[in-house]
Amino acid sequence: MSNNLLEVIDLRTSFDTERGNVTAVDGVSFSVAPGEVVGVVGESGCGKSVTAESILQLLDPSSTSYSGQILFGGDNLLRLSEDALRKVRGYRISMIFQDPMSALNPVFTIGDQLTEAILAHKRIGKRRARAFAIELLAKTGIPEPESRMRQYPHQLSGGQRQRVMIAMALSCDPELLIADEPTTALDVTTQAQILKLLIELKDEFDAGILFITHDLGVVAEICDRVVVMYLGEVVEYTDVHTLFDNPAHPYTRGLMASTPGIDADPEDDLPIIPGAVPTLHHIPQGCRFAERCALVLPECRQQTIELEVLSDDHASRCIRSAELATGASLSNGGVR
Amino acid sequence: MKSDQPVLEAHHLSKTFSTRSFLGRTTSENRAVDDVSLSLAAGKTYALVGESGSGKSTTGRMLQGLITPTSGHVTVRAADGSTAVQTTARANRDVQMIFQDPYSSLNPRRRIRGILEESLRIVGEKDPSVLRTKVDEALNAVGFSDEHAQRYPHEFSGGQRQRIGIARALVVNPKIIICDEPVSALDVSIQAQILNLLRKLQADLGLAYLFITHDMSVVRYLSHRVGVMYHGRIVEEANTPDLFAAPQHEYTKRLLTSVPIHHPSLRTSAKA
Repeated sequence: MSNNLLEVIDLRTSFDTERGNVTAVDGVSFSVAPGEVVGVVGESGCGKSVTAESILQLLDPSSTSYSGQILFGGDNLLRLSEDALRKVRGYRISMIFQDPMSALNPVFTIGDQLTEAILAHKRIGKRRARAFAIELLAKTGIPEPESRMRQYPHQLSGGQRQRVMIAMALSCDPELLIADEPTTALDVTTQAQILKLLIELKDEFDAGILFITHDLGVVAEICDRVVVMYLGEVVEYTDVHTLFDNPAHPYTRGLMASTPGIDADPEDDLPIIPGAVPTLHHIPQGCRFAERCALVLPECRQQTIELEVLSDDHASRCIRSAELATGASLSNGGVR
Repeated sequence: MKSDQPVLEAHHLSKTFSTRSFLGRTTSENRAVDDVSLSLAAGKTYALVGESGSGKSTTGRMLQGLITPTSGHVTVRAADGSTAVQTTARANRDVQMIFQDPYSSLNPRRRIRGILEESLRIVGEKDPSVLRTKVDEALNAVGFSDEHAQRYPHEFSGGQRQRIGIARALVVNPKIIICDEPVSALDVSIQAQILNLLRKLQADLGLAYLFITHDMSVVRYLSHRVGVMYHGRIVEEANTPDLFAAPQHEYTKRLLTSVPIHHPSLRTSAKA
């Protein structure tokens, strides 16, 4: 075993739907080391959230099946009993979500909910749990934590609610924090504060963070390594600097180009990725991105494309990766 | 119409929402918009930025005539150069709106053609052949064909629905479109498609946009002038390049330093 905190190997998650079985996560592998922030990036429908939820098996068990391995602390989480899994969820792996309002109970005070979470995980008395809750709230930078304890979720702003969720997630000193778009619903000024807070807390607790986002700006701010997903597959993984300097997959390049940067000329159209992510019922043959790719070649559609390892910590699922990684500007000679 | 004259002006708009108790007594008052004046020019984009709760959407809704201002008024310049003064909520075919959420802003039980025809009927258009031609033109402008007109909203993706929202605004030939966070709910690749479309329509039709957003990179790319709202007031207004080069107000400065960096090499440990 390596010194990784979490190792996901060939994870496959499929659902039974009215229109047949679909595989939302298809052979995904990655790892998270202690103290590391790993970003999972892609558009909606790429399987980012399903990947995150598969780790703790939060999806409806009656219609979901998993295969592969999720190694965490010497155990394969996919093999654990429901009882054993419950001792991982919220104890050793915590999760925060995009919408803190729907994750908090509207009829209980912040104090009740935080104390309940602490009591569920720690063998301490009510009074000490309450003191600990106030301490956690203070750590997340909420002003007047004592009076917040008596308030209900609707009395707090979105940023404050997300801080409460973070306090709850940290209440049991997790080894791994899974953050699913935690700042997407927040204002930029609040987002900047929450990202800063997550980094400080990660350093303090030496936890690993798996950060699900669609925002490359957020990736640039806080991630150490990045996994880019497209339609259920990993299409590129590497460290954050290589990703921004030498993106090797046309999808990664497309995502970067279509974000209006400071150098975007207002006189020019933004580069786009044509079309949209196909549904899981219509997964294309060959390269899944070929339909939308500006660099597509006839052979892209004729074979299953494997991840091509370009260097120690850089791989890309494209037959033209080697050319692309050199930073060359390519075309496909007008093939569609 | 002279091109340098504003097509829409807001004069000292204010909106106060009051919360009432069970017996109808006013218990608290919230001044959502406080003395906001701005003007929109043909073919130009005015971006209204600020955090949630700063009053940007309320301002947009007053301009469109969806809600009545507590005080102040809006003037809209008609094609013949005359101006209409608007002090209460009232539909105005010259001012249309595009909403943030393309999922909840389209009636799920109507076909696309029906949704667009309704906009025309509201402004008094009845002739079936005119309805048909105008709907076809509007759908065409956003890249859809007659075949799409027969489908229901759920058959479209988020980006496509936003195009339908744009077509619905265009169908009555407005001069001004209020865009309330039109790309915030979309993925970046789709966002770029919609931004390009909005720019093309502006160039082709000379539309004035009020673009409500919290995304500063979109502001820089798309807008000519920016108003920064904070606690219901416009605290700073400037031409876009000037605002980014030399922000004056404390809140504007904070907003600009909060924008995520575009490359990891720009990280600083001291970033606030």
